[in-house]
Amino acid sequence: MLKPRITLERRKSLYGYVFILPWIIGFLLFFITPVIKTIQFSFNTVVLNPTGYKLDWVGFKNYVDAFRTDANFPQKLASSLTSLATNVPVVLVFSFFAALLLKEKFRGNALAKMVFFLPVILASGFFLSVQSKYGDTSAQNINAAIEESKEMIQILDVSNIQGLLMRMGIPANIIGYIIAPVNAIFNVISTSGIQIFVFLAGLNSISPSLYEAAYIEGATGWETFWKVTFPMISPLILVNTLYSIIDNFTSINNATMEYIKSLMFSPNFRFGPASAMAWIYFLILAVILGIVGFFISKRVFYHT
Amino acid sequence: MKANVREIPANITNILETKVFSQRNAFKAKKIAWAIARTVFLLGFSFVILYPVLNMISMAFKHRVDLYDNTVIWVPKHFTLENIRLASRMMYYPQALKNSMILALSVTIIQSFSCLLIGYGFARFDFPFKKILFALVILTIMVPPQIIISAIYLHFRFFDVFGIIKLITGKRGINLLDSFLPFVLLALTGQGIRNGLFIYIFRQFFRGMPRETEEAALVDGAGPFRTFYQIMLPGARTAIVTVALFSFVWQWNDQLFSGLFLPNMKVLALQLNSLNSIETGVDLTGIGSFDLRNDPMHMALIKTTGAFLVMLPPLVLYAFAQKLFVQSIERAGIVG
Repeated sequence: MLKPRITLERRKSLYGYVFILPWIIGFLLFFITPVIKTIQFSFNTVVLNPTGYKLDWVGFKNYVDAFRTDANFPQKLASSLTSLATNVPVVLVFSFFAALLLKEKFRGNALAKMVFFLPVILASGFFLSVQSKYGDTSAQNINAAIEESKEMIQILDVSNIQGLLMRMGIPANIIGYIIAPVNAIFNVISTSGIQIFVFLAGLNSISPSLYEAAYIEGATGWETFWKVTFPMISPLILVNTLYSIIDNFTSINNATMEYIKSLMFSPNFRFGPASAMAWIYFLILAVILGIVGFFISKRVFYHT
Repeated sequence: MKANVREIPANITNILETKVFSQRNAFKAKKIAWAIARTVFLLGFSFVILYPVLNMISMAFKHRVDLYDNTVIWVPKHFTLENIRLASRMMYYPQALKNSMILALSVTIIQSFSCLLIGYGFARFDFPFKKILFALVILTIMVPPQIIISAIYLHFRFFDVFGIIKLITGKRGINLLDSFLPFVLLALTGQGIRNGLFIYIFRQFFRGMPRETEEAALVDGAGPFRTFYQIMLPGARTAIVTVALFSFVWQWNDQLFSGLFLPNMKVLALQLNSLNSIETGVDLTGIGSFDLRNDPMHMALIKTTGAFLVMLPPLVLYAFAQKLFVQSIERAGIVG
């Protein structure tokens, strides 16, 4: 009686493929095909005609031109990178702090959680189109929704701080200095909704027995934080760091994204150069993610 | 050896008591100070978040006369439902609400489930090319959909799998636009809005869970699917609720995919654009007896009301999901 025997290892790896099979199909159909198309565009000049489009092979010209003849691209790229370097650490620290606050037991905790999640509902999508009507392209990474309502406040609510200061006769540039930190808090809070909740979910899944053990061993709160909370939450620190970087890079308000999009939908349809820039941009993002991910994941603690 | 024994003072109990007492007092004072600081922090952050929302709600019920009244700041003098009525008529609110609800709910359920399975597969099984495949998941998060969406659009406009449909019908694929199928297909295969992130969250979550219970189940003879269903799924409740909430909100607010895949269907996020078109003076025939275009303040009022109407369902849903959310977090804490 010969029965084909599969080892447990083989079978486990097969089951692994079964679990991720839907993703593999989706990836091939809905991701890799479109991506190949944009790569193709980036090496060509795309000419539109009534029946479709025509491609003229130009090689690396689009890539070289992005740096050598395009006046705006390097500048936009630099401003995107600076905003990344300043925003991501602040968002991470803030969201971790907020998650620690929300984890504590106090009256009104549920209410506080509900409020902190609001920016996620407000932050994305439909407000952007409303906002774009106002043509505010200078404000990077500012939550569109809040921007929108600020416009409303400025139009309709004469009692706001800015208006008040203005009426007091304080020069506009000084008001700018006063308002800027307030806006920064706005931005940080509104872009860290997801990170807060990822951290919170992680904090709450840490087993209480670990804290009990630490307490019995006589660890102080400070020690417990660094020896228990921090290592246990470290996988999610990795997630949140990578997410914040990606969120910052791919946000519609990002200077480079905005520029690429404006090229793509410009009247003369510069799809080739835009695709080339998009790919340069992704390469930079990939390098940054690789470096940051490498250094953090070396310190991440896993149960396995 | 009497010198080694220290003399015990007569009033030992007294000294000890005062020491413990002062320690306890210091502890209490610290606790109160922290509670005050925490309250200040939370109130401050909450104010920053809530201000625009409250302002929006106040505007939704404000009569346009109040806009020119400097004494009206928060509570309108003339309460009115006129803004809401007007905005909802211009947006075809009931119909769009129904479509949006069906779309967002079904997409949420499907993609939470598919991402859960995929994330579990990546977390707990070893198979060839796993690292490369996971790097590709990260790649799907990194590439903004704006760049590749036009190609996906063409895909669904002439939908065909390996030319099978062309063979049968002789036509160039079938048109899946104006149906929910593109969304369902993307969600099923883990390619919907930010699904890579959901996969990542689930994978990290499962990797952080202890392996022991799972191995015990395996030893007891449960297959991988049963282990997943009976052991891992209940433990993952927190992550599921979190992902489902994000998933719903992003689908609800999405304009990019909806705008391309549903050119003729009314969903709320898109209907907000029809409010924008007041600016260009379209779409005003038969609605309202006055001209909005002549009054930018009133126009802003109607737009804000429209945004409020779009935001309302996720807010209400969140108010309910919040309970489940907190509950599940606490329960998961005990399980873990």
